[in-house]
Amino acid sequence: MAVGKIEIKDVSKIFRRSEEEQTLTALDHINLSIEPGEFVSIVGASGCGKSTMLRIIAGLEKPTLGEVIFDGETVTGTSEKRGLVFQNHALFPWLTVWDNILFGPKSTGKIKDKEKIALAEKLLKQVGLEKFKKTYPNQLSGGMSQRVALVRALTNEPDALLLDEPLGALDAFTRMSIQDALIDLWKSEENTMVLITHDVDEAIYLSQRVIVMSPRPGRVIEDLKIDLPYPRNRSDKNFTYYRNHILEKLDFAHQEENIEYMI
Amino acid sequence: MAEQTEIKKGNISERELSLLEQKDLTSRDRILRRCTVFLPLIFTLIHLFEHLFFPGIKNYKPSTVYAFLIGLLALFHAVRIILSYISFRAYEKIRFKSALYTVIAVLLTAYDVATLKTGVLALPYFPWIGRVLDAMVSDRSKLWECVYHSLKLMFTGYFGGVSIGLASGILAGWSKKIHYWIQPVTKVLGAIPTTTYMPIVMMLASSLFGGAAFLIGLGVWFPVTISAMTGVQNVQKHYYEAAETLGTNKLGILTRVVIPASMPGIFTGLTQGMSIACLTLVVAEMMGVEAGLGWYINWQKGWGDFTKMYGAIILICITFILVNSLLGLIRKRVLRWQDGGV
Repeated sequence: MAVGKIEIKDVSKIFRRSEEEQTLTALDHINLSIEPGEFVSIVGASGCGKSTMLRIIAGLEKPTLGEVIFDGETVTGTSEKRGLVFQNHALFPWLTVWDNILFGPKSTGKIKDKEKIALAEKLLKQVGLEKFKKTYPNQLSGGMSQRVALVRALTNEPDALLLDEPLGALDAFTRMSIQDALIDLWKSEENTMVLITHDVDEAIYLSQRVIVMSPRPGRVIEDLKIDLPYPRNRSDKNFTYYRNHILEKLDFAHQEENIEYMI
Repeated sequence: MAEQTEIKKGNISERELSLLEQKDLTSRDRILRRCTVFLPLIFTLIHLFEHLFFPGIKNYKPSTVYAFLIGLLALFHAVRIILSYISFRAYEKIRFKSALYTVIAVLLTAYDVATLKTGVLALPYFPWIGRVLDAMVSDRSKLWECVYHSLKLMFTGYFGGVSIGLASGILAGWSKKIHYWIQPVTKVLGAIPTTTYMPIVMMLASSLFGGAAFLIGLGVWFPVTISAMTGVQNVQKHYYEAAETLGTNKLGILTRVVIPASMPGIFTGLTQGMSIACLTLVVAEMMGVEAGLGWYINWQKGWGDFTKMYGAIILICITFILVNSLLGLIRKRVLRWQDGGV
């Protein structure tokens, strides 16, 4: 049976503001269902609550209202079944690349599992870093670190991998090559992928479905299936169609926001 | 021209790069640079010659122990000169240090001339180094005993303070409840040097050794606690979150994330604690404990034997330098992941 189904049921997240009596609604009654093995991207302007949503799915934050159900169970905390890759890679600087990758298996008691080690070796090779096992993260470039972070998360064999703008801080060339690595990893590991990004092209290039969110309060304003075969061509006519459509939606959300401010 | 063809090939050696960087130097500059490597040996040999063959005051003889050590120093410089011809990198390092070593040789000569040879600086307050060394050699069994005793006292206090400090600091950084109780203690005790309590502790303690070890431990405990506590509190949030999403439990996060992440901070505390331990040790030995180098210094001063007193002071300096460099080595090893940042 396929695993990695995420159901977001009526989730709202309301934050306290430090110096005001008012509260801030980051997420407003979000309903979303992500199928096992699906690659979904969530795009939106900054402040639309997309990162908060991902953190709630991961179990790092609790929703104020509603619940997230993962494979039939309500999410109450973090689990190794839902891996997370951060924008700033969050590798442990005191461990070598190899020890970083094996951190998960050590935590879950699977360090003596030969298949685990083989998987880690295979994934590291897949991202082209097999020669950097004994290197410390300090000595890696941003792109290399992010590849290691991907391998670290995937070595734990999560049913769903949550990606919080993992390529946001990288230059365009590195980003494109890691995007291809990401598709490659997804195809080989067959897990659910949820990617947060503000790069519309990235969302279309990678995912089967793009969710567009509007800011303040965070709401889903579009749920779009990308019906293009992999590998995708960024200058393809259909690709451009999807891009324009999403940009229009984002622009609309933006205008509405401005109107609110004018009143 | 040869150098420029090297660049086209792409890979040039470190030596060639340095040659390129120094291409503006005249050949005279280069010869001068080469010569500086010889200066430490020349001046050390001059010192050795001066010590052995110049007549001293009042028939005082040159010290063989001292001459032997200076001879070793000369040998060391000779080996460095040979190394400077073998490796280019070594040459650059040795050239960098030669000014310092030359000045040291000159100062040693000047002091030897001022004391042993001319008596400008007179005994008993200014013994020449050879005389101090001879006194140390003649009293060596007593001095070894003192070194042993001092080290034993210092490490008993230091390790006691470090282990309790690490435990309380890490726990206080980790748990708000423990922080609530430890914070006021550090606030009150932290500002006061522990030597202040020396009279009380020495009066109450059942043994002088135990009392002194307690004072050293208390002095070490404070900086170690503070640094461990702030180290733990400053561990970046995303390390916790990364570990959590990788399936690590609470204990795993404490031992495998929090402690290694706060190691740089902890080592600051360990180094500070070491200097406090050295300070408290000397004060305790001079004031109460009847053994160790601090006590020996005071004792010889009482007898007016300044030569032996200087000997013990030199020994105490060497001991503290060695202990601190040992700590430095451990620190470098543990924190090797900090090296080579891009």
